[in-house]
Amino acid sequence: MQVAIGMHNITEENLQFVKQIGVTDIVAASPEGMTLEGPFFDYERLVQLKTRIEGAGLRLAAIQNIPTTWYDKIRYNLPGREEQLDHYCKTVENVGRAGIPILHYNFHAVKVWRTSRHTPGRGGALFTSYDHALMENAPLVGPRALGEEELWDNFEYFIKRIMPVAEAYGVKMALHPDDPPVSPIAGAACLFRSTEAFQRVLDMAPSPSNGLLFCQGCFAEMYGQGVYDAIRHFGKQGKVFYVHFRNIVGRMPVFRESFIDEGDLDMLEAMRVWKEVGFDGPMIPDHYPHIIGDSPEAHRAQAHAIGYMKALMQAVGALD
Amino acid sequence: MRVAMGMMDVSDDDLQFARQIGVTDLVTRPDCRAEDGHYRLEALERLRERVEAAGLRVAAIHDVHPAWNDKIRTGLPGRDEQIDHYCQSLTNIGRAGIPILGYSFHAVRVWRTSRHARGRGGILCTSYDHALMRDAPPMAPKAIDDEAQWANLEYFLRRVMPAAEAAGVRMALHPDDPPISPIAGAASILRSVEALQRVLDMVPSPSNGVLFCQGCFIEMLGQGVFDAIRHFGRQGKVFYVHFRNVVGAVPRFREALMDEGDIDMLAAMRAWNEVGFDGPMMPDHHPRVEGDTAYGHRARSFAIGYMRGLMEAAGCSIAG
Repeated sequence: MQVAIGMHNITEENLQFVKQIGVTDIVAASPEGMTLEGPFFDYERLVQLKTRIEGAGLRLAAIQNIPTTWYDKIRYNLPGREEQLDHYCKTVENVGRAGIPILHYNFHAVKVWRTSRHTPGRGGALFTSYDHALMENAPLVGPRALGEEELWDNFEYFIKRIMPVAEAYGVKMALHPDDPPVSPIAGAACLFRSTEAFQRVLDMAPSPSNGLLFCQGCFAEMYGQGVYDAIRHFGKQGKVFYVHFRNIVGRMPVFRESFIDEGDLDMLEAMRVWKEVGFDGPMIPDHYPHIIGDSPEAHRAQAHAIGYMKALMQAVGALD
Repeated sequence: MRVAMGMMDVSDDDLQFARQIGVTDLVTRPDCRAEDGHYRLEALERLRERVEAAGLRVAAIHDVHPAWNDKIRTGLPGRDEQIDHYCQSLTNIGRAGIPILGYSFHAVRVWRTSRHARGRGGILCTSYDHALMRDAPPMAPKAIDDEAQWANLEYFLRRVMPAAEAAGVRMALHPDDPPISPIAGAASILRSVEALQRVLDMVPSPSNGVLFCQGCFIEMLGQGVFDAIRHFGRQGKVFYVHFRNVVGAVPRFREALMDEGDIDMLAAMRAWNEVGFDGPMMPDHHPRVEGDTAYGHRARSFAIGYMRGLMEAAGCSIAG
């Protein structure tokens, strides 16, 4: 497995920091500049990003967070979606041409939702949390109400256009679950909230490029202790392209995030199952709690999570 | 096992930081001045109350002020008075309900020949090369050979151990670091398993034990550290552990992040669990991570995360 970390702000200091704590692979999130320029990821920018990371002795494993405004018309089937699809294909093509193996994507109708960003946990550290009761009266968000079948149609239209391009350019498309995995929220359906939904995606457009970003937190929100079965289900198919290795307390309809070493999941058992199914891709911690005195980029929380994750990888024999 | 961390300058923020990253026990000491001579009961009690109010325990006091035992360590006139004070420290530590005093018996100090050796990702570590110390001028107040230093240690132990026992305080002796002799004209006697065993046999007492600095034993024995863990662990004579890793051994070594040195730390943790060690275990000597604070918050976060992961993986019961 690859010890990876998500990085928004790619600086020499941050690259050196993660190398020191034993990270080998970077998942670059919303690469600055590229998203401002738009309307797709520029090839030269991607190459520069890759060479910069490699210059620090690290690898660029994946890109995440395509701006939502680059595919909102696709999700809602609004005029202009063909143009967005053309641009999206251009992004996928350029990611592949630049030799970046994985593109993380979402198809949230709106966004990730949390009802608190200040829920105290261990030692008073601050976590995000979600309570669905607080969202039941939410006003309509987005251009209009969106039902499940309609969203499935829009998704299918999207994926059937994108997947041949991804396959042609050797890009693995890693789909992230809806977070929280409940539907509808604020008038919009959330599709990717079950094992069955992901299986439907895989079967809808069979391709070596069609797979999952398995967010362990989201699957724990769906299934609690059933997460190990979900790991096996997709892991055995070789359809997990990368993993968000995180823990939570509770599950739908009420949960809070947690430190990686204190939630409801047995993370050692989870790591054993990842090893057992032969997963050997990038694994990153995600959604850091706020530790007292930490930087906005959460260097302390990152160091803590990487240390813990590496120990578990070592224990199951998953470190190269 | 107890997840411990050193904290010499206690602050509210750092107490909270420790709790958040999963620490339960501190190795610390009250503010003290050379002219105090010994630890005041009131200062110890205040310290303990403050730490407990933050939801942590005081596992051990970290040594005494170096000006309180310099004559003891070098056999100078005035040592009897220092020993009287030392016994008073022990009595007060016991009265304050603190179970352990960690101590060392270096004739002079811990030696390093560089504070800017480079490890993974250019991380700054300390290192030692004995070739650079061979011509060091004498730095103890007088030349001290092995025999003289053993006499100094025995004189001290025979006086203080009954006081420790009466106070219910366990004294945990740290090896000499680096474990090589002589340095700067003074013997380092605590540089082998046999030497530490000699200390235990010299004054048998439930209060007489070892602060097992895994780093020092690696410096002595390289992969032989596992035998040393078993040797002292099985006797129940390890009162607490400095869990750290090293690259190399005397006459040349450098420190390292826990997961980067020569020793398989998972195997070490398994050995600790196997011998039934259930006391405080703390990281020590943190390399300087990019962008870190003077206290090393990032390095400590990594070390505690990693150590907790290993404890879980080795099947240790982690005290809550």
